[in-house]
Amino acid sequence: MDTVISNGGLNGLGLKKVLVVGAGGVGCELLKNLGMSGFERVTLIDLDTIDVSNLNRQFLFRKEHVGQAKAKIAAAAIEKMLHGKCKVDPIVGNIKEERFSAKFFGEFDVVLNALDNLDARRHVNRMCLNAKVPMVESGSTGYLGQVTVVHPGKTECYDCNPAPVPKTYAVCTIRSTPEKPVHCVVWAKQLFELLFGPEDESNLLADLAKNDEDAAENGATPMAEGRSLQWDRKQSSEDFAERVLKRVFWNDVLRQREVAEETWKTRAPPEPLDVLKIAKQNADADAPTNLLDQLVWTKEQNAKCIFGVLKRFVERRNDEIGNIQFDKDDDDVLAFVTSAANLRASVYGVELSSAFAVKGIAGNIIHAIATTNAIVAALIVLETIKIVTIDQGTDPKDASLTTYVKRFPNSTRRGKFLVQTERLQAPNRACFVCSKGRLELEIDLSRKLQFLIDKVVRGNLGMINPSIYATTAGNVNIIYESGEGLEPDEVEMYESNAKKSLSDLNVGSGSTLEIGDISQSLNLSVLVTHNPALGSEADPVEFSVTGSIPESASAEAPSSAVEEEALQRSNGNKKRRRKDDGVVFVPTSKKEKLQMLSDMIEIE
Amino acid sequence: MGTDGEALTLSTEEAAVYDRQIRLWGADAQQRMSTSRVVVVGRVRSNLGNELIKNICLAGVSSIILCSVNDVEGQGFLGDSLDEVRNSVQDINRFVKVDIFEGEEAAANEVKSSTAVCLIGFDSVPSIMSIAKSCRQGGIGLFVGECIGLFGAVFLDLGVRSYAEEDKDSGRLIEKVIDYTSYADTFDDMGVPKAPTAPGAIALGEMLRIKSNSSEDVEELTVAYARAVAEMYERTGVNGKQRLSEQHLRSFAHAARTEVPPVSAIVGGIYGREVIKYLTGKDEPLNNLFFFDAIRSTGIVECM
Repeated sequence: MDTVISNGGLNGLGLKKVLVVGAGGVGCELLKNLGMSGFERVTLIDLDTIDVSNLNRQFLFRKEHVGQAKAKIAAAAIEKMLHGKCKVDPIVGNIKEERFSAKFFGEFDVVLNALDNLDARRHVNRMCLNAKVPMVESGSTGYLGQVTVVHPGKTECYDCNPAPVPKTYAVCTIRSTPEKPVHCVVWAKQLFELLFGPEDESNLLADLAKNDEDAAENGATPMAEGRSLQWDRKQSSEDFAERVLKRVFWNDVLRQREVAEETWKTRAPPEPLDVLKIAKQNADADAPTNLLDQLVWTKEQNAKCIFGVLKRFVERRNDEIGNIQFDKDDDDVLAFVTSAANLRASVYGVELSSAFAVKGIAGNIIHAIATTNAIVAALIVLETIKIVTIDQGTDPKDASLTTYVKRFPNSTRRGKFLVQTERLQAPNRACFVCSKGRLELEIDLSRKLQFLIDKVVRGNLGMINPSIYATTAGNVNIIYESGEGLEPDEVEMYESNAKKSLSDLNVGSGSTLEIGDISQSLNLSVLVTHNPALGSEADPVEFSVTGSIPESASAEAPSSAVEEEALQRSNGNKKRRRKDDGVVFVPTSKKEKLQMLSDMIEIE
Repeated sequence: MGTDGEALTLSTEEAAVYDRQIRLWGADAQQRMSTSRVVVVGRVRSNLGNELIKNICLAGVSSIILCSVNDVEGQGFLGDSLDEVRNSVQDINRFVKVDIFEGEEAAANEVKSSTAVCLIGFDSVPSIMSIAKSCRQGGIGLFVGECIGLFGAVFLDLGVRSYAEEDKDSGRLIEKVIDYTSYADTFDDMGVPKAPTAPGAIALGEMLRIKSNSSEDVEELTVAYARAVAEMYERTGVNGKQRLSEQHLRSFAHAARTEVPPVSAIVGGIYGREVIKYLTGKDEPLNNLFFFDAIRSTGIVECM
């Protein structure tokens, strides 16, 4: 900031073109700060509409705006607030769409992230690297905030550090031995997706849908294919509800008593519940209607609620069945998940939770508040001003900073810091995004290609429209392509490939996968190793992705401190984490930074 | 403090709007907020004033009373005139009652019936000392905030303050107490720190002197500014490389008379956070000075 002022203060900012991605809590504050500081040319992208729960912090929005596009309302509010001095050009859209190409990003002097999800952050990072545009990245959750800067090629990019890992639970805890309310909520969400969502072979309750109920009823443990648990379109709503409740809270509980027999020597075994009977016996009890208050419903109320909501899906929303996504703001969904979780909790002697609490757990709501958002947005503007006024030739590592907002002052030798900074680091030379590091993938090759696409390529590597070429013993095969411009027969072929296992597609141990995403200008070489033990009960990690510095680069470069650090990081990643987590690059230092990042997985 | 306001409950509509923050600080805290009456005194139309008012309005207090004293010409984002500011604040959160007054006399009256008093500008209200004393007598929390160029500060005098803190091991709430140094013991009649010893407090004192200096002589300002900044950096261990050039100091001396918007937003954010902590009685409040330096993007806490 010193240089900024001596270079003529805040004049000249009006000519700089700024892209703001996100018009939520941080976005609203950011637009105000940009306009107040003298920025006049702002483009704003957001795909979301305004919800009533935004109004406590997204101060550009009013009650009458609920349901309208955030980008448009925010742009209009800023123009009015600042009497037209700042022109905000709103775009209602998803930043991951192909129309927002590297050329689009390249038109801006700086890109500011005010995002609430990891995928979009990773994508914008890649687009900014391609377009060589500096990016300011931010996060705000509770009393904690963080702002950092990426100067493409000169400082660490967003993918130089490992992707934060969502908290996961042991499969058997969810499936058979829940101990805490959160286990029951996770289970209820899985049950919801099993009954009403798209088919997903990795659903933890997939076996529940297939088990033959009659055999189960006799206390045996049959694995033979039975009738599906999903609604079969001929069933009446009442039959469907009855069937689900019986299998889930009675038959399956009997089976779990048997499966986890050892567990019940030390704690009380689950007690099956005749939910239908409870619901019908208590026909006069009030069915809970208020999903926002903090009252805990009784067992009877939960029974009545789930019976009602199961029927409701068939009676009123049957055209959506098979395609309903979990949405914490969908009242039917929340009522289902709350009552299912609570009945599950009753069965296992776990304490019951209010709909308010369930919404928090199930929706991964990390509470964002106005004050932290305001601070974070202002820190973004301080960094932005430095970026656009920096002298040519200045090392960006000397100009830009990572800044943390803390909940309590951090005592150091130099004082107690509530807002604290850290220098930016050089790029991680093992980073597969900005340094084209090499990757190794361990996976069970009997997995379907669809699994590789969803969990590894999209989930772990953060690609949007991937293409995959497999090289086995010198032969190259195109096994998958996606995105715009494919012929119908190609689409059909790739869809059919997706259902095949990797080994059927000629991918073996020692094969190399060339995985690319044209829109992100990213191409990766991934060496495959077959590991049939992955994803089993014994080793619930489904796959592992590890990275290293490309041979050519490490052979050329002298052994510098930077390289040491990069090597340390890539070596650290042998450690496996839980399900869904092919860990990439676990650094050995910067614990706090990682902690902050992983606290910010999803920010509202 | 309305800890005994069980009679009031949040409406369904309020619960929906405040949902996210209730998840952070709890329904009881929101309840207490909704019985609080916050008086903002001084330069309410400055950018720092606007930031603070916006933050506490969003939080959902019962009422906000704006007492404009020695105010600036609309430097904030809520409007030029006091009426415009009131309308904007009202528009941000319709559950909050907003009143406006002008002059010190009105301020002195409003202070007596408030839950918390927030001053904007150490030098904005000549009767600051008597306001501080009546806050002490009435057991009312006093906050003073200021932004000067690239620096800003918030001072707290919360008397003998008890608050609830969660025990890390048991998760139970434990009551703790901080005995604050009073405003009168810390600042002189001109609103300048009496005998500051910590770097932020020293810098704040110098900034306030520079700001009140009506001289147009930049040389004089620069020397004072240089002294303040150098002293602060000396004590916080900033190395020679980061020392400021003569040219930089001149620029700062000019900037000392203006508000830099992101600085006000940061200071206003911390300010709002502390007022909310006070109103809800949750979390350890800062004791007793927050000082922000935008040159280095650092915010430190000192006890004056």
